[in-house]
Amino acid sequence: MKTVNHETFITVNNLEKKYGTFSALKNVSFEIKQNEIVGVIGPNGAGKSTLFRILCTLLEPSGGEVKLMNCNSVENSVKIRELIGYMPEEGGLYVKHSGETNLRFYTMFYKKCINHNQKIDYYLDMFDLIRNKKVGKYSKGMKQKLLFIKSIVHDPLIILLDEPFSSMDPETRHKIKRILHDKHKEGKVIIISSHSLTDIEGLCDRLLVLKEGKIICDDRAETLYQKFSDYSLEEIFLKLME
Amino acid sequence: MSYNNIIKVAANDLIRYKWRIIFSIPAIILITIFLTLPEIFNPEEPDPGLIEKLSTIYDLKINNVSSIDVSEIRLLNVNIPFLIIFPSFLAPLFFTIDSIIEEKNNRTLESLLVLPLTDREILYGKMAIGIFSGIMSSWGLHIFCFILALIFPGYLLFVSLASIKWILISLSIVPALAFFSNTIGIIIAITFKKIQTAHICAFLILSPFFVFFFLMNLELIIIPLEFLVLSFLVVNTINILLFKISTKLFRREWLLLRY
Repeated sequence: MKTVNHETFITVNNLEKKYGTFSALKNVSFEIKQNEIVGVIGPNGAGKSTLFRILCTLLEPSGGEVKLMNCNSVENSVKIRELIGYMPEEGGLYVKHSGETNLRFYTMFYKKCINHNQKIDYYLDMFDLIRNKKVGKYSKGMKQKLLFIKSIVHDPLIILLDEPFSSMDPETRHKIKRILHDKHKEGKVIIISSHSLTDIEGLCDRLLVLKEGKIICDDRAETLYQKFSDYSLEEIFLKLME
Repeated sequence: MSYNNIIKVAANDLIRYKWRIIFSIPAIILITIFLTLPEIFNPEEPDPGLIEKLSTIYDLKINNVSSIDVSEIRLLNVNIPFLIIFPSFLAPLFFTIDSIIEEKNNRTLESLLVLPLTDREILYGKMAIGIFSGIMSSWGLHIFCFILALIFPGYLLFVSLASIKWILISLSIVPALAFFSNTIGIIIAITFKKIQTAHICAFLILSPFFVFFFLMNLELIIIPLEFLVLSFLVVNTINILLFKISTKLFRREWLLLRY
């Protein structure tokens, strides 16, 4: 793996994903550079989750190529997973374990993760999570907070967040946005998928709009706002879907 | 492949299922005692010919054959294979099924697969703890039997278990069977998404063993020692095949798309 010139963090070339005869992604191509916060939006079944799962190396492409930090997602999947932080929409936590135990378990596999115990303590305090309480007794919002911590605690270069704000209160949303802005300043790449467009409005530098497995719009957020002046992001999205 | 990662995955399962593992040994002991009780109190005429035959087969040192109750011998015929086969087969089968299907249903498997681990490291971690539970259940039962044999030296059931030959059989067959049932458990867990369906499938696989024990109980089948040695070779040959199948099936794409 190269250690220099990581300007382009993610390269997706003619990506295709088929489930049997159904094409979930068709000829998807884009590049994501260092320091970008990218919003992936689209209606249900547009292929957002499939795209996230391929970027996380959970699924293999049926066609095309995905490279993260110049590493092929199929050939160097373990190396790639070391660089990724993934927050699924739901699940992903051991309900019989405490929040702290969950985080300790997940972080111990990252070789480059240093001071993870202090980081776990820091984030648990920041989000007011009770460390010894079993995750099964957590509310949905608390579980989401824990999933978010899990995705960033090992300090990954690429952070993938699938619907991160769906069950969160405004104060937590604000905290998360502040953390994401800090990570952005550190040069990390952040990719967010969300149904609530108001949540990602003002957060993302760039927007990828997916429809029926294809990218129908890939533009800077500012450009889109200029193009559709006087419209909110939600209205822009509806116009693009027409 | 990192052994450290395998141990970490296995340790996580051990913590998750620690109470199930702790309680599995006394549970199997209780089942064994429950199954043997009717045999102990079953009055029947002793058959010296059968006693002599069984004492030869099971490598027993019996001085006065006529003094032994035939019900105890029947108990020996049923329970020695039962003690060896049943816990080492039962525990890994259900343990592995529960571990993998619960991870699939709670979507923790997805989180596990996103970690910097290879599919094989996860699989071997799961296998290690499944096999460990089977071996510990079976050997734990044997240790319990030794203790009982010390307390009640006249109890024929446990005489054979103290012989070197039986200890060697236990040491060789128990891990082989635990491995066998563990790989079957993995294949079932990958194939089914509902835990109940997987359990039914596991019981169907176990059913020939129950038929086997029932026939042994009726003295229609007597297992010779050579059979156990032969079965060890057969089981290990099948194990190689099952291991190859389970490693081929335990692929992230296959696991995730079978939700």
